[in-house]
Amino acid sequence: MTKPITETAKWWGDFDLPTEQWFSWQIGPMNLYIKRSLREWLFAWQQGHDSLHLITEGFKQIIAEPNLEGFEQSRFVFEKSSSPLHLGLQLADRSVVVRPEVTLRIPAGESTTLFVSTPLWLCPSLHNNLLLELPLYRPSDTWFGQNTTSGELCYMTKSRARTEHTASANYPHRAITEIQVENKSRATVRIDRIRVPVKNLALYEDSLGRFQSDTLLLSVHSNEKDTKMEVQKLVDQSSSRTLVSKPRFPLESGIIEQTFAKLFE
Amino acid sequence: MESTNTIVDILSQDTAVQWSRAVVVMVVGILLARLVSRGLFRFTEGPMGLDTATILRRFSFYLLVMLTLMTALREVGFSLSVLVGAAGILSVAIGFASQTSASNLISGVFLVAEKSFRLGDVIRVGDITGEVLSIDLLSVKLRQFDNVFVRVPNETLIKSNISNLSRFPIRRLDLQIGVAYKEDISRVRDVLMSVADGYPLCLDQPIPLVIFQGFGDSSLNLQFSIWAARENYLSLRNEMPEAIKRAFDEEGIEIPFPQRSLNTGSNTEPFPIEIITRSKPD
Repeated sequence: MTKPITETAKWWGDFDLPTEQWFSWQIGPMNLYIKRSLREWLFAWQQGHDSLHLITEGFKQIIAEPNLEGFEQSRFVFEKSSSPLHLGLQLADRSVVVRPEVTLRIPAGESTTLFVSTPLWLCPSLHNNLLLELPLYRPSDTWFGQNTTSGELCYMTKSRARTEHTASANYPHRAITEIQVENKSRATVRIDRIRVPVKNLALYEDSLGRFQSDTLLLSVHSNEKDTKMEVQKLVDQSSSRTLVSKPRFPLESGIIEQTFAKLFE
Repeated sequence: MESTNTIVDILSQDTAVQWSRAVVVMVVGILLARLVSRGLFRFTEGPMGLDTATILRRFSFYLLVMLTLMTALREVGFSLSVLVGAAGILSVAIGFASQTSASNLISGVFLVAEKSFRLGDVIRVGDITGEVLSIDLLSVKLRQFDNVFVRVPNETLIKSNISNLSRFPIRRLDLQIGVAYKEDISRVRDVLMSVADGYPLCLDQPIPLVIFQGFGDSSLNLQFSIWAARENYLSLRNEMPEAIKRAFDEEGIEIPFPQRSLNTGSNTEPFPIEIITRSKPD
């Protein structure tokens, strides 16, 4: 089921690459070059910081040897290099804190659905042996916790926190997470930051080539102890969604605590 | 049969046999001590932590070896009561001689109980900074970052201020920055914030801070406080000043040299300036 070299629409999956030739990928802000030799695989990549980069070229053969100045490189040596190369995708290896560009306020008793996007990780592997994990862009680090001594190191991404899926831009290097928020408290709740536990979520691809994670259900209560976030498995109604990768760290209970920074008004 | 028993009796009273027994007791005792101490270590490592388990292993090993030694000595005919008596007399002399060791030993127990640091932590004691290699009965062994081995007596540790650089997962870096008096502080603040925003290892939260420190001799003094994950602290310390200098150069923000104003006494008249022109040769 490997892809012929001429097919460039799908930039991830299995690829049968001939030896001694360079191939390039441009996925959002990432430039990736791969060369297979008789006894080794060479990967060279450069990550940009522009998270809203939309250009994606599946992959193409490069005739001349590329200029790899400023590129990070990794070589993997074998007795004899083999194919196909699998370019897998994963959600981030830590939770991602999403900060809405404009602070959200949800009145008492209201519920809404938010769509936030988080960066994807490219995971090249050969015969199920993972070779590398490359974020398609490197988000900033952030700290999510009550104080500086206890909490969790996360990635941070700014988001418009859209309320309609169709309105979400389809960035190739990002996956959309649907968060259903219910304000069950008696006051308007202000959400400054939401911790999206993407390391606990599975990744799917829909028929349009967009990436989606499991859905999250966030119930906000007046008593913070009762506020919980649940992971809901994506219900496949159209049969057109396919599982891309399982969660990195599956949850036993499906419940995640301390998920957002909120203030009652 | 009678003759055989006689030979055994003779042999059993033989000093050689007594010493052989003692050797066997010692060998078996030491092996047993090792087994027991290792078993105790495995049993306590999980619930009590690596440091306490290591101390317990050593304590149990030396205690069992001491008991084995006493048993072996009894086998060769030493009277324990004599030994204990002698030990009583000796203990006074030994006590005086081993004041420091005893102090270190007790300090070690307090250090372990206090849990100020663990194996693998990076600590600073006085002017020594290094990774904790072992916590022993008398001393703590450190590896400095220049790969020098340092032994710090427990007594010194208990009397000193210890900074544990590995205790919390994130650390703050305070950079002291001076800019020229002509610069707009709010613009400098914006540039610094954008530098922090563009550096992925700099934490978004806790928020980076620019604190005005005062009017210096030659510059407006600012403190730029930024946070990073503990493991990225060194990268932040090395790369952030470089990024700030680059951003200041791009924005035309001046980092001034020390300056002095010279007055010409009470009248503060300007210094006379003599302009020298050189005529070009024909």
